[in-house]
Amino acid sequence: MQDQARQLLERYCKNSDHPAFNSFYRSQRGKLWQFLRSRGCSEDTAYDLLAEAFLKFIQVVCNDLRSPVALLYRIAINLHIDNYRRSKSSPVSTDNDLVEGYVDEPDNFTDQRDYAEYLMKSLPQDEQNLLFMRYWTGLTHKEIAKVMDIPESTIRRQCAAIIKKLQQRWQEESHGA
Amino acid sequence: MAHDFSVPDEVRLEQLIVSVYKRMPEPEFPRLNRIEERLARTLPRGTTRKKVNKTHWWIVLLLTGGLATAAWWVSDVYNDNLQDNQTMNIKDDVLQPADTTARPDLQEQQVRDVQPDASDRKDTPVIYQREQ
Repeated sequence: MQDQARQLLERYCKNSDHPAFNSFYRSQRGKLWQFLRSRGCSEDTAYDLLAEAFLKFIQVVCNDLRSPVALLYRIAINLHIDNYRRSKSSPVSTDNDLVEGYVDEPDNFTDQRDYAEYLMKSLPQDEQNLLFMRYWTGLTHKEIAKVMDIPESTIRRQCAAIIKKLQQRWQEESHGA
Repeated sequence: MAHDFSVPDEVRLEQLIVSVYKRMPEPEFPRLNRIEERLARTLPRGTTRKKVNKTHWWIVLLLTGGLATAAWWVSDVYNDNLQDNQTMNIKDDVLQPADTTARPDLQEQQVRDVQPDASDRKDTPVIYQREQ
């Protein structure tokens, strides 16, 4: 998928192929909107940030075509942080502050998926971003490392640690434990 | 939060994570299409901003200019040297005595040059004459 995105943008940058850029937009818009929503944006804010992210992306993407999707997500994250800072009088220190009070705690879970969702929402924002980009957007460890500005080996280790953490919490909260 | 589900293995947990994302709300496509139209209006401007790196062409231009200047300078110096050498040769030729053995007319001319005739002597004012 990432190779396809890169090919589309290469066509856009080298041949001014606008339909290629539109194809790239259509392939990324839904997931990027969901990503912004998962970070606690309201629906309207998610649309605004999506548009702004693509506008900024257009201006810089042709300078470096190595990881365009990673670049897009990096821009979206930065815009979300800026937006949050503008909306609040005091600046935020970390991304984790962005989703305060976002976790719902239902009385019981009908299936494993509900419980998995509950566990995922209880993770810090950085770890939620990591899961989203790895398992939903389909970015590689290397590409996520570029988005998060962290070494690839750290991302690899963090992904494994998150899975273990979820399993551990699953085990701890089980009746049979 | 207590539950009765067995602990999933890594593969199963990854499948559950993906299924959670699949359940996420979808965006409204008319709104996304409006954004696409807005982007389409900005795309031409975006492509004209594409930078073309011309540094290597400037280097080639400078090198070519430098080489041309050097070639012109070298040819100029060479021509000067050539002209100097030709002048020297001419002088050498003048200084060398002419070979008169092959041409008798030149021998006579040489004799006349060395012994001026009587008319020449008559025109010359006599300042001092040795007593005979």
